[in-house]
Amino acid sequence: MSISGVKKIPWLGFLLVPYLMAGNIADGAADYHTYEATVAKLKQLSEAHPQLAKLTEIGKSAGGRGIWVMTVSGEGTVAAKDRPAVFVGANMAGYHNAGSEAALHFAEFLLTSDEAAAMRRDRTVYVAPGLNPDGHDGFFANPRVPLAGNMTKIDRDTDGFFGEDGRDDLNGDGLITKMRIKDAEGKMIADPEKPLKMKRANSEKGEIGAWKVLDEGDDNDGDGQYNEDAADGAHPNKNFAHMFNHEDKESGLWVSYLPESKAIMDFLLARPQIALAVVYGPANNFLAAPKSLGGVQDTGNLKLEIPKEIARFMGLDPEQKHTIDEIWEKAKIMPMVVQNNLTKDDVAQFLGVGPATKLTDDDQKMIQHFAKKYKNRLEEAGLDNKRKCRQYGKGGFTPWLSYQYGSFAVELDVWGVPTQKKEEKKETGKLTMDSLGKMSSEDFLALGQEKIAAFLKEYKVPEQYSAERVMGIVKAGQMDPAKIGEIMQQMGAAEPESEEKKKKGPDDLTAFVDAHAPWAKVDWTAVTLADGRAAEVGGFDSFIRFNPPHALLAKPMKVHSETILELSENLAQIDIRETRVEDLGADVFRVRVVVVNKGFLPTHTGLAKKTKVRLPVRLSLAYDKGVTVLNGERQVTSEQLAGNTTFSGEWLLKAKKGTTVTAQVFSDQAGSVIRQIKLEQGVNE
Amino acid sequence: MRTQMLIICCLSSLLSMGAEPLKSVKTPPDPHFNRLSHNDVIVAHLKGYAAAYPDWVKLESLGKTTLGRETHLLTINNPSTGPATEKPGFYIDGATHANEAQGTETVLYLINYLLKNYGKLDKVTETMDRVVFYFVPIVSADSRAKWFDEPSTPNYPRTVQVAIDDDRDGAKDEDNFDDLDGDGTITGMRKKVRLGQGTHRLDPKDPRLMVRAVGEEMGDYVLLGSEGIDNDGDGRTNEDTPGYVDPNRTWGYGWQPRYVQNGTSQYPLQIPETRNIAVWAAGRPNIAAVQSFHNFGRMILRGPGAKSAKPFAAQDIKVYDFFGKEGEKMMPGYNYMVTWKDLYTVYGGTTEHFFGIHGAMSFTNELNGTEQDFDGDGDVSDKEKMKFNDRLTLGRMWVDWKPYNHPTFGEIEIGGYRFDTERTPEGWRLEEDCHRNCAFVMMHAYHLPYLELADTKVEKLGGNLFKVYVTLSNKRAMHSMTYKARNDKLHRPDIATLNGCRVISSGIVTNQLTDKVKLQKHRPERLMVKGVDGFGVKTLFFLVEGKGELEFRYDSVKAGKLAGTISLM
Repeated sequence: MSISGVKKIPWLGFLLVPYLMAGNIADGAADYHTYEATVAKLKQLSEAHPQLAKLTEIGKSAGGRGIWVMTVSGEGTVAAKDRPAVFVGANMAGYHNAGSEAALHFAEFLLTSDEAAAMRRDRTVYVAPGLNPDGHDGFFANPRVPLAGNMTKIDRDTDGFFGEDGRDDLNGDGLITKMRIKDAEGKMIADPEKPLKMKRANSEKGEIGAWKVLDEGDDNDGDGQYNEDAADGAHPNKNFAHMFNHEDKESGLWVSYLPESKAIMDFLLARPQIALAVVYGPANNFLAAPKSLGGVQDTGNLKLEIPKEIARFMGLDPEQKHTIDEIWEKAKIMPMVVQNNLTKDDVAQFLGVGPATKLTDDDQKMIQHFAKKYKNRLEEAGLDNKRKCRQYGKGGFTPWLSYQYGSFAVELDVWGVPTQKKEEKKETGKLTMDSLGKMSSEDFLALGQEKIAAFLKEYKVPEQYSAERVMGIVKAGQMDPAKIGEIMQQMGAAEPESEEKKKKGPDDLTAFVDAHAPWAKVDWTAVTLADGRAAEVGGFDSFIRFNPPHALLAKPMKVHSETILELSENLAQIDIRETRVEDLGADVFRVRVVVVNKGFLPTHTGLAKKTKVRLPVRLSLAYDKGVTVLNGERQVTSEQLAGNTTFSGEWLLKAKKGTTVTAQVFSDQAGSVIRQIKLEQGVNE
Repeated sequence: MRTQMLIICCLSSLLSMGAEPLKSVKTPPDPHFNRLSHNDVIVAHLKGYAAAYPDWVKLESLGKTTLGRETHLLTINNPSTGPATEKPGFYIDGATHANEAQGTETVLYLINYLLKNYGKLDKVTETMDRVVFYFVPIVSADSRAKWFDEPSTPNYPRTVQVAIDDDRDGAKDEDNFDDLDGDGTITGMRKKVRLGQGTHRLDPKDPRLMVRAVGEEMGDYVLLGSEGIDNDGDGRTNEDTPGYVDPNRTWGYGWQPRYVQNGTSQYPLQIPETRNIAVWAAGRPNIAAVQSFHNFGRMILRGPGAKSAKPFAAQDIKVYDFFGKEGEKMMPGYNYMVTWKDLYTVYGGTTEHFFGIHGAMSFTNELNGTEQDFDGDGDVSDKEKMKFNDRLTLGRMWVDWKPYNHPTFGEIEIGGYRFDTERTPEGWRLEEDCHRNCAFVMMHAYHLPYLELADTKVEKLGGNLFKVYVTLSNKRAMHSMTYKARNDKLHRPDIATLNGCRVISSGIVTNQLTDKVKLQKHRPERLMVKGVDGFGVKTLFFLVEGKGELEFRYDSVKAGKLAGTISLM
């Protein structure tokens, strides 16, 4: 059996599609921009606003398509290159076309709206609506295949063939949906309640599996597996450095292996002025706070092994493991450590302590702060703010921006399938995960053992954590109810489906599709696979979970553009709050300069502070030859300056009265200020 | 009904035993190995070999370095035994750390040795017939040239020439060392201070040496670091020297950012020095072995570089240990070590990249420096080093302290060991270290997987239906596919095909005695074999329908190709 010629072409369906289905499916992508149209729109916008916008090709995709960034900066008091900058990028996951639309919307909003005038004046803004050009157009293809990868080929199943077994449109409807194959060893059965859903057979209830459920497609390479080696290549959105997964073939051989990820990293790293990055992608960090992607634990209790020679040198037992604090106690007086000014972090690094695994508490707080405003804004616009959202994944673009690039970064999905509005019948006094988080220990204990036991049972908490035991923990003050909720969630406790939801009505996706995109639902239809097996194809268009009919994007796009505007307004902004000169007589002056961050956000995220990936805020004094510094540092720095806080530097100078010196504050991402100071008694604000 | 079959043709028989020494069309270079050579000399030699042996030696550039030098790749392949990409490949490099200059000489030594000994020494001949050698003698070319051309130290420049703001003050590379005394090398600075203010005092027996003031002693000297001034006026000297990106922390496997792994780039393979090699090597899946030369301290290092990295499979460790332990005997004083456990944690090292991403067995050797342990106590003291300088180099290594008026520190003294000492050997010790290390590489190359068709067996089942058993043997230590590659699915398995018949079923014999076979359920005509272990055999099973002659083909990513003919009788 050769590889070519195996693929079954559904000729009949192929011919019928334009006549029977085209209108409806085209509706699904109508008004969305193909990649070519996306670039054309960028060109049109920048040509219409030549004073504001500049278009740059920052690289080419694997398939040779240009990757474009629009730079926007209007006239302002500060030169464009010295302003705090904002990056808005989209579509690193090629199938997330709603992101590209929202980014284009933002570009236009930024260039044309009055609301954005201050942003044009005070910021430099980079907008990149298509970061994975090769993956972008799966939405417009026939069949419509979701592409996360670029146009290379990879060998996911390591059989020596590259990209030889992707999904296929077997029923010729132009969509890739699901496929079920009758199989005596299958694990799934049809769900009588929901015709398009399949459920796992429960042998304890006397059910025997009868189907295998897969994505729609043939076993093109005859290896017994279906769709295991898709035609698209490695995924740019898995090719970044935070928690890069070597064992996932779709990650690429190494971080930056793919031209798409390398191009955007090179572009961003050359622009440390970027303080804020908003990524339109499949995750939503405001509706679901970003979770840790795992990794080696942080320092602290982590016990480290020390290489034998070093352990002996330090007088530690090489057979034992030690915490970093124990090691540091010995290390800090060692000549090598003292002479080289090594810090505890340096020593930890030497011993192989890994990278950060979660956002700092400060960073989480900032995300929560803006998440609240975002949710309010959604609600005001009549949009759902309670829907379930995805998290970003290993090696993703957004976690790289947060953990390694050092900007304040959020990923937003723009739109998602809304939850249905239900009448909430609240049982008074019934304990739920929500109410647990807000409850004091006293209130919790007052519920009594029975209610707590019912709650634990409902959430399937293992039996050894009895109500009695949990109450004991709370009583002893070891944990508060919120912490218990947190641990339960970590253990995988899921919100139990309400009885109502279980019994009645369609799920959210079905309800949405029925109401807005009936063409996206395909009833099971019989097909014959290339290997001769009988199968049925049906289910939902894979794109509908992210990309609604375009008209439904209008409100979300507006909300998101306004959200960027608000974030931008809150960025850190360095200024000199006060300069104070004391004339000490005899041509000696004490000069004090107070620097303030006038913005709400800190100059550096907590992670940027920890990783030192950005330069600190730097305050220095410049002067001519007539000035002698009697005391004072060349540079006073602040690794992170929180919003609305200050730091200062002081110098003792010898100079003629009336001499002018210059205070300079530099920061890459929070602006820079230069101020003349005349050496005479006085305070200047 | 068993019949012994005749192997008519086997690619391995192409090996040209009894071959003649290589004939050069021009006089080949005759480099010396008793002193270190500047890049220009090395590159001229590389060009010389390519010109002298045009059929065997190919010289190309993998791309430009940071400052625009070429990254030279020299390939040696015997054209009469097949194309390079169909043979097991051995990649060898030197001077990833530019100050570790003799890595380059070691690579050059092997190039020279191979070309001059083909047809003379059977082991060399056999290895060159079946292995392709890829050499990058100078990875960090800009900095290695700088090491010779500009005032340097034994430790600097280890970086590539990418400007980094080491002291995070907003200016890059603004406070370099300075050759204050103009002697062409950067040494050290010391200053005599009031008794009690110092940390050191002069060694009473040898005032060139400083000893730490301990116990009841008071110090009257301070050490002020390497020779230099405070160029940027921040109160510190030499705190932002040109560079600092350590190329051997920039490779792609298990890379970590700068706050975890000091000296790395902003993302893996950001610098052209390593990226050009990595991109090229990604297109050479036949590379099965890697050797990187560094200095110093006499070590044979293998990964993992970090504890958090996945541990190696026992079957791979067995092979590593075989080389490592033999290596310790071949190179007296060298220790076989695991990087993270016995040395220190390295994220983004060369060996990790090639083993972790490509499944190639990789070693880093730390070459010999200058030291001599006169009293045999296992340690080289300052005194012993000075004794070596005085007695054996007649003072070449050491620059005596001389007074200097320093703009910040006032009256000081400048002196210390020259840049081409400590980490690099004296010329008369260089050649032997080159040879022993190259012999180690030759052992590794000799033991690249070497597959042979050991036996075929045909069993007639009636009509045109036959059982065919093909036994492959691997004569050498390395597996034809590392267990790393198997377990992490780094590349496809070996593939066995039988042409000229219909293959109904195929599989791997798991027990010869009981004839137990694990069948491959799908695509039986393309049997996927997860390698043949070193010094091992593997028997393949085919159930076929056909008659007459069949062609058996075996295609291994790392062990080359093999073919044979089998008659159905």
